[in-house]
Amino acid sequence: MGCEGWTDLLSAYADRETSPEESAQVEAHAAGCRSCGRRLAIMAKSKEVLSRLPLPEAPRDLKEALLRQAARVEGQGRTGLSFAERLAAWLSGSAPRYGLAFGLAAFLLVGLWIERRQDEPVPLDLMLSAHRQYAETAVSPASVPAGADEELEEEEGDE
Amino acid sequence: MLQRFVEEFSDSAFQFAYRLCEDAEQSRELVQEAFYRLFKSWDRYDSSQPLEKWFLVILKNVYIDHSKKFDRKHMVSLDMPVRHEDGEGVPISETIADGRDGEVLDLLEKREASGHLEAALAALSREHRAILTLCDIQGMGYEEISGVLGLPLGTVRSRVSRARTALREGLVKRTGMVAYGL
Ligand SMILES: [Zn+2]
Repeated sequence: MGCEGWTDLLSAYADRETSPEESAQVEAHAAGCRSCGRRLAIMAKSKEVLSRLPLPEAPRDLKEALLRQAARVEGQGRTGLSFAERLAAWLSGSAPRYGLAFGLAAFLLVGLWIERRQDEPVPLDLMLSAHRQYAETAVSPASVPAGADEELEEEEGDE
Repeated sequence: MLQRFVEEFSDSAFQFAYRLCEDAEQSRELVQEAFYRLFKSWDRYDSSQPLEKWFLVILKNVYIDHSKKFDRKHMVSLDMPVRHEDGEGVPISETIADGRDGEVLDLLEKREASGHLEAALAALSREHRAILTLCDIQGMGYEEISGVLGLPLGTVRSRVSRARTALREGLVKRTGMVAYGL
């Protein structure tokens, strides 16, 4: 094959992903072919430099929020979080914003209504402030991951 | 276990996300989403399996969901031979590129090599960037990459190779920029 045909093998060799037979072929060819020898050197050198590239660490607050959540999940054992804890985690900003502001506000209001209907109606300002609190955290529909809504519904259902 | 996992993997998850979308805010959402799914499915986690593997499957799904939003915009066949990007669709003449491989090697020996590589990487298509990030930056093997990206092993091998060819062409362009003092 022409040298073009060696490209995939050279690349796999640079990644140590070739079989012993393939490795032997690559080594034999690259030893006698200046062009492929250089290509391989470029691949290996790029890989080496890229592996040492300084990369952004996860933002501190994100990591801390994830750690808090992890601790909470582990603290619960395998039983999962209660809805209140998930809500708290969500409000603390660590869970992804699903643009569920509306749904949650509605959910909370229904909860308030069920709790309070025996004694008195929900005061209007309480309803409004609950609504506003969640509406403020709403995000654009573009950032809503597919399936997020069903997942949450399914979760709420098993409480 | 979960906490240690967050300690160990949040950075590399963030880095992968960052290379994917080149945007800190979006990377954050992607990582949050991946860990959120992990936490949520924690009671279904089979502890005889390595947690890392479980997380990679989740990351793959997040990546796929995320990709769908972007891919409609850039529909290119990634596994076709790389073409010159100047618009005419003319492949860089192999003889010219060959002649410049020596200069590319010199460039890679320079102290600024990482800056040139980062710039060349950033200019790649998102899929090529993603696969080289996993392969070269994060040091994953083809099998792992195949799991994360949901691609057959053979496709991983050829796509890594195409991505490298594109990266090399980017470096060839940069040798020109260096020569002209740009
Ligand atoms: Zn050759």
